[in-house]
Amino acid sequence: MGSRWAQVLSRLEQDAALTAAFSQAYPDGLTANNVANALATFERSLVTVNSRFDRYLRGEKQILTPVEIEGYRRFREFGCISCHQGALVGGNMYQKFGVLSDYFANRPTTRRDLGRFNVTQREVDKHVFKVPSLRNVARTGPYFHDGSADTLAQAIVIMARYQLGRELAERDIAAIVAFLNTLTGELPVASR
Amino acid sequence: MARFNFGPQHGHRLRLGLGFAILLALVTGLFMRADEVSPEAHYAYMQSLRRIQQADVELNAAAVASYADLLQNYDPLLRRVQAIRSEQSQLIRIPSSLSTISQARLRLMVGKLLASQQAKEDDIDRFQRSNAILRNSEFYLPHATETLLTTLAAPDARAFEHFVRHLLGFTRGGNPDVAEHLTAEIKHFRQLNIQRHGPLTMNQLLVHAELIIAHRPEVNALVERIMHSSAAALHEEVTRVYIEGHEQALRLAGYYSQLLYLVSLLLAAYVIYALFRIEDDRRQLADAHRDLAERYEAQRRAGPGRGRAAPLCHGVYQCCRGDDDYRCQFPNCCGQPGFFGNFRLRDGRCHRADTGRRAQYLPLLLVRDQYRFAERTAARK
Repeated sequence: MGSRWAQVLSRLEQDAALTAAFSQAYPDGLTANNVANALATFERSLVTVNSRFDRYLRGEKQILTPVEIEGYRRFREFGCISCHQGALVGGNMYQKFGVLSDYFANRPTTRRDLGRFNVTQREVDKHVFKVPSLRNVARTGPYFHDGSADTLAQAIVIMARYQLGRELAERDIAAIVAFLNTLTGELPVASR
Repeated sequence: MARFNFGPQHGHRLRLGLGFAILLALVTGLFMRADEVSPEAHYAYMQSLRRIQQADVELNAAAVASYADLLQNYDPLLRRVQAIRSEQSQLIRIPSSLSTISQARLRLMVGKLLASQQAKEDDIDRFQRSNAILRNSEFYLPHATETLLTTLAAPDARAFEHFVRHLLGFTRGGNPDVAEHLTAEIKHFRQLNIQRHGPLTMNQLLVHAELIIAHRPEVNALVERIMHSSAAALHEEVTRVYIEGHEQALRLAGYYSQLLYLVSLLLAAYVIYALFRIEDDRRQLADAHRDLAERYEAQRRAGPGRGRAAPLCHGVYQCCRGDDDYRCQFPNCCGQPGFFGNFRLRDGRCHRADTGRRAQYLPLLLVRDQYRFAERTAARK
């Protein structure tokens, strides 16, 4: 997030428990390489299959509640699946944040709000971000590139307004939140 | 500092050694060049080209399927793009067996192919974005219109229904010129500023209509561009250039093999010749020894010589007098001539002179010396 390794390491060193854990796990303790290795190892462990939604798709129709099934239906009907699709329910494309109206209008913007433009320097990539996977989304808040949405409900309202051009009823939001909660997979045994 | 006496014999040996080293280097070089075209590297490169071509074809198929709504997600698109991307690193590793010119040509073509693939990847990215927006709006607009129409007054409802039908016709491959007319209609509805109660407003639908008008031609154009990307043609060109280069390298390796075979034959012939020479010399030497032994035995039988009972001299290099090249100076000298003859007095001592090229005639010299010795012995008697 725009930090330098010196800043990262300095901040991590303030956590005595973390430093001790690094010393225990790596012979040379807390270093940039070891932090990168730890992050990569953690990410490789994020194989959270067998969510309730997976089981539902495999035929266990009773595994989801009626509200969750209704949420799935709404998720499809409202067009969320235009971007959040595929095995990971997203994560396979980029999209502009603010398709039907300008999300960044009337708010102070920073460089990080430019999104993919920071990488490609192309005008068409301004405010374009990777569509995130919704797997385990209930556990990965706060949401958006700037962490501006604290809850799933807030995120859904913003997405519906700026990406789908709709104002959703409370009931629909609750149903979609319930559905998104079904995407939480089983954690690896070591992480439980 | 001792100075190395570089005589004709040394020069001959040096030339011989140098010639042998050059020949060895030539054989080694030819062997390496003949074996330079690695079948494994060729197979790996061809496999890489084939995988890219396959992924490109599948990418086109996935784009069309996605465009036709036969494919509801972009996972296959992403997989193909990643497959192509992962093969690119293999593609730029051009086999070293190709000639410098072929490598340069191939590098140029691969550069063009990578640029084209990057452009195609960008088009895929834009297609995904536009198509996602379009799908959402095209799916949502008819349903929302149905809801809206129930709340509108009859004239407005009819006009809006007509507009939406017109718009849906446009999305199904209608005349692109219609876009202008539809945009004008949207402007007209905005000016009417039709108000209604409830969460759904006409303006929301008009925004969706605008997105459809903007993105439908873009998606159509992008799919067209993806399908007609220069990547496929460039891929063919890269394959052609590579195969040409490979064939050229194979031909060259074939020439080197033939040359290697020729040089090997020459070497083998020389070895056979040398063996014959050695055998011939050995026979001559054996004959000379036999002749010498016979003469010596004849002398021994002829009468007691000066050194008959004496032991044979040692160190013939030091034992010959300057005034008589062939007689030993030891008091109890055996009287034999200096073996291999050709001794000279230097610094008061007798040294063996360099025989040089005469070495090959040594058996003959030996016979000559023996003959002279016999003559002198007879004269003394």
